[in-house]
Amino acid sequence: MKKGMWLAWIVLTLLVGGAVGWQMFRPGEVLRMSPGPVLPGHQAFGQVCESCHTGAFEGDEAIQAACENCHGDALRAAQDSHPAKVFRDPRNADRLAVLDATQCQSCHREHQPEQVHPMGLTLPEDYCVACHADIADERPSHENLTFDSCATSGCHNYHDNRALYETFLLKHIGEPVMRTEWRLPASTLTGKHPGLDSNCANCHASDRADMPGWITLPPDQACGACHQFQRNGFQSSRHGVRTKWGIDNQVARILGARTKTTGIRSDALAREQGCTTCHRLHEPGPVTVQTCRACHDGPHSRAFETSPHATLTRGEQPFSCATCHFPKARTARGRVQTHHNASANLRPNEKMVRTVCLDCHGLGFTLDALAQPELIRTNFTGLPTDHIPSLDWVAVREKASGPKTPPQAEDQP
Amino acid sequence: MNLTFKHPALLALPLAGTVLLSGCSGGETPAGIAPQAFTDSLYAVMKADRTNYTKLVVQRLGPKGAGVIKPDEHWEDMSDGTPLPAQMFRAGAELAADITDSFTYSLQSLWPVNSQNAPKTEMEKQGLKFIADNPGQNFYGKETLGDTTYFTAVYPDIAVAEACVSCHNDHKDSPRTDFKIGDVMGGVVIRVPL
Repeated sequence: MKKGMWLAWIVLTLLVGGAVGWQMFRPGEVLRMSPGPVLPGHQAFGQVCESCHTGAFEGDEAIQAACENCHGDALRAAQDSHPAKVFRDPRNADRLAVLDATQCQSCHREHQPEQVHPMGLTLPEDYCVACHADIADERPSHENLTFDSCATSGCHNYHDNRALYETFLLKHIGEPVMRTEWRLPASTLTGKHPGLDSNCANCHASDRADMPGWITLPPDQACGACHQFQRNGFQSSRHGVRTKWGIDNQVARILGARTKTTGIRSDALAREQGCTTCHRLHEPGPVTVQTCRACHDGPHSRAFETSPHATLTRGEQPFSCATCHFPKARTARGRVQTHHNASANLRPNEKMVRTVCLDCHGLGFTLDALAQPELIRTNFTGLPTDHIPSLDWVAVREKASGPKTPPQAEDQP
Repeated sequence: MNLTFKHPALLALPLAGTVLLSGCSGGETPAGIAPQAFTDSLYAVMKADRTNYTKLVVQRLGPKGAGVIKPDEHWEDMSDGTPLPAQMFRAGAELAADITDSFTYSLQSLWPVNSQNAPKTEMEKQGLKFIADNPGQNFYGKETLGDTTYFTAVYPDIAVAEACVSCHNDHKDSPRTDFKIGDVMGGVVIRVPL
């Protein structure tokens, strides 16, 4: 009798374990085991769970390493003002007991769609207070500010503070709404590939192992052979991250069908993302608004054509989505390069201040405009009605401190 | 009280020549080094590097010298910017923390330009006050932070160049504006987990 019970128990365990295992690892069915949809920024990974869960029995350390593996470079480039390493000093032990700032997950949780912030991630409203509750002692202007107002657009960012630190604000006090001379560099694209059009093999054929024989539609590697900077940027963005990690588009489509991404056409989620998705091979000129609209169909995108920006030109090229979202900048050698990592220039929106907005607008106007969701929704049709007082407070503090050496910081657009 | 190195690779640091180790020949386990000797040695290297950077780089090439670099708090925003000596010191502390957890160090002051560099723990407060009140002397003690006990040493940070004095005296966030060369402006706090 006992033997029979043991046998039944073993068989039952194997059956249940097998069924669960089959559900966990069966292609296309992983999401049934997921605790919830992933953040919008991670949807490009589809159901490739091991992107973050790098091992079956790995803990938080492995997930933290995965966060840093993808986002570390961007944080360093943004001169992260709260890098985790600062908090590893033992003198911050009391702070870490309140908020463990060495772990991304302390503020940014996955699989919790009901808590997703408008920026596309989870974010507590009161995290600044954990360490800066007494800020009014140093800055009387901050007396009575609410605990959830610190990161309001135009005030402070936890990571990327490059357009918001005090000396930078001081340097830009009193700027007009519009600059008299724009600093927006025009594209150097000619509409053709100079010197290459007569040699088809440069793009369509190769003796490289990863590009054998004649290729009708050249892969990104062919473009990247000459445009490495642009390709690197693209692959670091949400547009190109699937390509970078070799994630099957079909897998991403399954996830896309089950999640809602504001402003993205549902049929766009499975679209192949590469250089030729937006650039036509034999007419590699600037990307048009229509190209972006093929995937982006939210209020901000739809409002562009009736917005003031749509009436402007840069050189001979009309403004487009790419004017602001794929900013151009001059290198130290004077070459104009287009940054293809749109994600590095998007949220929080103060990331755009130095790379784009200040080319044409003053800082005060820029911060006011970026702080108003309705203006963003209408693609900046109209003027800001609210005012961010950051620059006013800086001016008052500067005046109270007496004459000082003028700030020397230079912009690096 | 002896300290056993958790990371033998640490001995490859430049301070190796100043550290007196015993019993480390013939493959025997190192017997350890007294925490005070360890922190004193670390401080010697830190002070040498800090003084040299201030005098040989910032002072020689900055506005008071050749004028080819601009030491500035926001040096990353300037094509010719270079970190202030205190920032260079902190950058070293952060990088060292990435390499080893055998010790940590920081620059603090009773009169900090950045309020985050004010003393926080009781031992830091005691130590900074002691070195300010007793020029030329160091401060040593033990404290428990979180669930770890540390040997904590505090060494005086003295104004060695005109740039140190003028920067602190002119900064609008500086709570003290009468520093002179030779004054104790703050302290280097070194912690070793025991």
